[in-house]
Amino acid sequence: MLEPLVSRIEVACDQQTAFTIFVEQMGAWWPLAKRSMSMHQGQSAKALRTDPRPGGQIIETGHDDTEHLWGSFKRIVPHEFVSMDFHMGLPPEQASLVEVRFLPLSDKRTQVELTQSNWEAFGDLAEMMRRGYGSDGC
Amino acid sequence: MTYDTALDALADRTRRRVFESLRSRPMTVGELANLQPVSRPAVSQHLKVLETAGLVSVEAQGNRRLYSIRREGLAELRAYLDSFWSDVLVPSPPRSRSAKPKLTRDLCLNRS
Repeated sequence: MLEPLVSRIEVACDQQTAFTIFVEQMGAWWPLAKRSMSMHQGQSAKALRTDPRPGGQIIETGHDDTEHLWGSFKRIVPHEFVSMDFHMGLPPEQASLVEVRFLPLSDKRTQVELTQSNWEAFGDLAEMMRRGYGSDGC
Repeated sequence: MTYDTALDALADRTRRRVFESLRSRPMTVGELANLQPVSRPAVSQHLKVLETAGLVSVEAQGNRRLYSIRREGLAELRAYLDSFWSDVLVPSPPRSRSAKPKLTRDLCLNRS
């Protein structure tokens, strides 16, 4: 079992706003020029749209209007938690699990904690990618 | 190297096995074919894809062509994955489009 990857940030808004912007307006804050399928062709994606309900999809509209499925929502607990099968650029069976928790720190600050796991979906390669190779003598 | 080329290349199970076989030492197509339940031409084809993706390099030794894992290729792929969320969960750089959503600014992401 490979260690999940954890990333935390604080946002300057209340929990409900942070959650709503995260799931409903992903395209407004996601760096579409830097991390998208279109980026691989040196272009910014045009848009990102979400359908925030279990099974609802996350879809990029590429620079040439091609649509790319990034993943889908699994569980949604309004304002507190959302999980997604995330496989951007890979076949859906190689989805990693992304879980996001929204912890209120005050009425103006919220901690967003993102955990990515299920690296096993990527097979043996997962270990090579997460730990690197060369440490076992090769 | 583009990351999706590398990820695509490694998404195929057989190709991944070919790639992983090279972890122990550099090998020829013939040696690799002996380890895989696939034909030599198929192994060649997989190696070509891996080479294009920057994950494998080839070196001529006499009349043999030795394939090995290209460390830089894998390191680049790992760096891409490692930096993925730190690139995503930060304030977006100002967009050229004037119709910048107000909420983007309000979200005001700061790394803790």
